[in-house]
Amino acid sequence: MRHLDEGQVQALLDRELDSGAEREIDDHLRQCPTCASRVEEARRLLREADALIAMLEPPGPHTRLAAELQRQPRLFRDRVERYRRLAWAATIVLAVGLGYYGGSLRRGDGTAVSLPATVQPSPPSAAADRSRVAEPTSAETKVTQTVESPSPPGPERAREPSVPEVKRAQSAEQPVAPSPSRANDQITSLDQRSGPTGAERAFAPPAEPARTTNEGVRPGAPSAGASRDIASARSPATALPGSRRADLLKDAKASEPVSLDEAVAQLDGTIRLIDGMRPLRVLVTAALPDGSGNRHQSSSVRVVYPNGFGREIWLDQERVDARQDIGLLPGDTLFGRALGGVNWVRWLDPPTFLLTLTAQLDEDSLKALVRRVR
Amino acid sequence: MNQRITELYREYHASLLRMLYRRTGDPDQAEDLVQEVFARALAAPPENPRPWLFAVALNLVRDDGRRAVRQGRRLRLLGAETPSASPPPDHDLEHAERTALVREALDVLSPRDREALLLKAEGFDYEEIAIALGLAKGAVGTTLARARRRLVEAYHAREKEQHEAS
Repeated sequence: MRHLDEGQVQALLDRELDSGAEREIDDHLRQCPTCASRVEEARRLLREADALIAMLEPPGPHTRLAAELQRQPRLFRDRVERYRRLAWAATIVLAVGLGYYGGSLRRGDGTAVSLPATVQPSPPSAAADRSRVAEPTSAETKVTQTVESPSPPGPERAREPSVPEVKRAQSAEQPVAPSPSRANDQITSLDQRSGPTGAERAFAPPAEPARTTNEGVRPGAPSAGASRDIASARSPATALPGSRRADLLKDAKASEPVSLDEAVAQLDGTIRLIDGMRPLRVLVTAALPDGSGNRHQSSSVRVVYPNGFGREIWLDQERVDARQDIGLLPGDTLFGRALGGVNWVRWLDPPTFLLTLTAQLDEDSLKALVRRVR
Repeated sequence: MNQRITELYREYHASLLRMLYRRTGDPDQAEDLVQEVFARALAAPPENPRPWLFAVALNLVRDDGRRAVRQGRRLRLLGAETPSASPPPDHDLEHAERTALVREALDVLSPRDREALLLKAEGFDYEEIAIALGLAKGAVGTTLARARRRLVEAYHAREKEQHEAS
């Protein structure tokens, strides 16, 4: 047999030869050190080339952020468990309180009974407990935050009441800003290139846009009754220390419709819009502190677009301090899922634009929209 | 038909994206091209999907490259490995430098050699590579041998240059 040519050597290494040809070449290699040496050299090149190409992997999740994401389901379970325990505690306390009050009435001593502030909302029944775990109501939020505050530092900071939650309660009676449901929010995937630190802001999902039904009721928003409950309930901010509470309440202005020019001015002269889409309205909210108490440099702007059948697409944007750790780096894209098929994607537009796109769209459609944000 | 495209998408999306990212160095461009590939598959469903999808993808890369040259813009070939924010840690920096070298070495190859190599890395056999690139099956082995040798040589040459420069 003649010496092997380059193609035969490669075909041998790539296992492209049939068994007869392979046997024949093996026999030749045993007798021909020259060809055996060439095969070994080709094998080395093949391995090295494969290793080099394997280095060109598409950007994957940063390990730290990936670890945070993997932690999310556990956090979610912890939160559900906490809600459940709190609901039972509230039930027991109220039952004791009512028993005491009933006893007082029977005794006729006219003693006034004031319930602790933490148990003012109605305690959940067993059935209600399940539904509340799935989607916490305002009363539940109140109970949780009253008991939990002040929030501990570190990872538990994520449960610290923030202004968006205050805003949620305050805007419950407004048709524009429906109530978000944070308890069920889970981050499902991400597509990012490098890793952020301190993921609290990155993991705090935006409010869930609600669909307007024929009756003009937004399922995601509280009913009128619920609105009254929210109005009469303690705001999450009241669970904070006095100075912080006053600060938050002062800042927690409801979103107000503004012109595009006004929104541009709020964002220091630039605004991001979805190319080819006409906004329904633009809303501006006052400067928001983040969970760590830091204040962003400018107001938050929401550009609302139509998404058919009364649904909306929200493009939230704000300027952030480039030196501040917001949990995202340029190039990172964080994808999350809220209730009702609502998905959101958050990314940092260098150097200081933090954008969040929220809509009842699947991930691919959302990503396609992100590419149209200019 | 949509069901079939959905299946194709599930089966080949990740592989196509990886191959296109390796080819372009730009994850966004790679994703856009993948979408375009499947849009074309939807319009004209392929008989032999795997070679077809990858051949269309590689054609789109070439077209995109030509258009980029015509428009006088630079392709962001190394953009993905060099995020502009804070400097990465040493390990990331070293990795970024090495991937940049690999990409430079890959760019040295002829388009055919490069594409054969990338298709092989996605698990294509010789017959599929031949179909996708319009080669004779007998020429695939030689093409791959040349491509591998040149890639490794180019990489080491650049590595040496970099070492000497520093």
